[in-house]
Amino acid sequence: MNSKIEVNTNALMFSFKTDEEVEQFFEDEDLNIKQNEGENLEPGNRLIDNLRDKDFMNPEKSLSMRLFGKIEAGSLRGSIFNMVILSLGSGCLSLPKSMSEMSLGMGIISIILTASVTYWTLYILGRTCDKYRVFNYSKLTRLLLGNGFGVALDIIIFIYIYGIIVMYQVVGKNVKF
Amino acid sequence: MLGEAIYNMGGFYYEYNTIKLFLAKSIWGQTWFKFALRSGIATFIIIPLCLIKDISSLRVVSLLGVFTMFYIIILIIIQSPFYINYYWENVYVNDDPNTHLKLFDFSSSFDKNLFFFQGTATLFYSFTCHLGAFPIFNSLKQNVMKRIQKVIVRTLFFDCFIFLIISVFGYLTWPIKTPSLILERDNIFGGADIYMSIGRLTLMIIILAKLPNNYNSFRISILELICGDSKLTNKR
Repeated sequence: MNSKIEVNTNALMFSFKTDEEVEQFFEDEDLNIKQNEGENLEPGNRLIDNLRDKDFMNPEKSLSMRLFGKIEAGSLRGSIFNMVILSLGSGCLSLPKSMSEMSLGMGIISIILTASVTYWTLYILGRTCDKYRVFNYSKLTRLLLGNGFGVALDIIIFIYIYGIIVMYQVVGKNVKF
Repeated sequence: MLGEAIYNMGGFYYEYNTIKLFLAKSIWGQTWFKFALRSGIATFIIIPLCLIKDISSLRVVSLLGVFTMFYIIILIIIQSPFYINYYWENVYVNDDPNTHLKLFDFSSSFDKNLFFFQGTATLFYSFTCHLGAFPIFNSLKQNVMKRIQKVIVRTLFFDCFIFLIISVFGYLTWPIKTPSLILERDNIFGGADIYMSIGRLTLMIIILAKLPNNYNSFRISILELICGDSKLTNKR
């Protein structure tokens, strides 16, 4: 069963649309999918609602299997490792320097504060993804804020990645064996 | 793609630098070998990893990166008693406040240098994973909010744990003139600190593991910008 609503990927599609038009679009998308697979749906539910709270975790799996079993594609553990590795790197290895400038106590407060803000921002992103079933930063921005913001975001991402490349080179040059 | 070429060039350029320093006087220091090494790393490691369409396929590489980070953490913890002793015996001077540990100093965080904001900016950068979060949420099985939230919460706990350990132990082991990267602190044991050298090499592995993860979302954005369609396909 297709769990996602496929959104037309035309970049200009959602530009400058009102909220009502966007809601109408998704209602139409829901209706199309229900018509295709109507017999599998409970009346009044969206397709994706039927996936909620069902089979999230296989209760027959033992704790050891959950912790040390094979990491499958799309699994919770695989996704967590992918997310963790995005945060690790040279940034976290420069934290002791920040501690020496701020003091240890203020540094720990700063870590907790930053983690809270990061959680909040990721929560907003996750919730928006879940609501609109769009898992693409650009598309989501275009959908909610219009094409101009989408293009701006793409350019920002390009600059961000370019900055990362430069930063990696600086780190690589500075690390002495 | 030009971006891909630039990205991968950036990827193997730092490999070249570190390995050049590591083995400068052998065959590894010769130009033809450096070129072959750089090309080999780019061709057989970085480009294939960057071209993977499904980000969940990178889970093993990410796991390798996390394990290498654990090596650094364990190394810092094991060496910390020696470094702390060294600090108290050789660096600490009772009458000189510049050699004292700053356990909680509100004023230094908000003086004219505004170190609190500088440090918090570094921390925000360290925590940043929003760009790569979308492909990860997309590849997650049954990607509804409940499971997305599990990924977010566990990732942040993991990150906080690692950051706290590195920050606290890294600072306590070298509190005065702390280097920008904790791996670059001076060796107090005499001779070559081979374990820390391996730690520096593992930093390169971590960055190698990060590259494809970052690149995936970058590629999607570029395709969206140029083609108006971010679907990853071999037919374009």
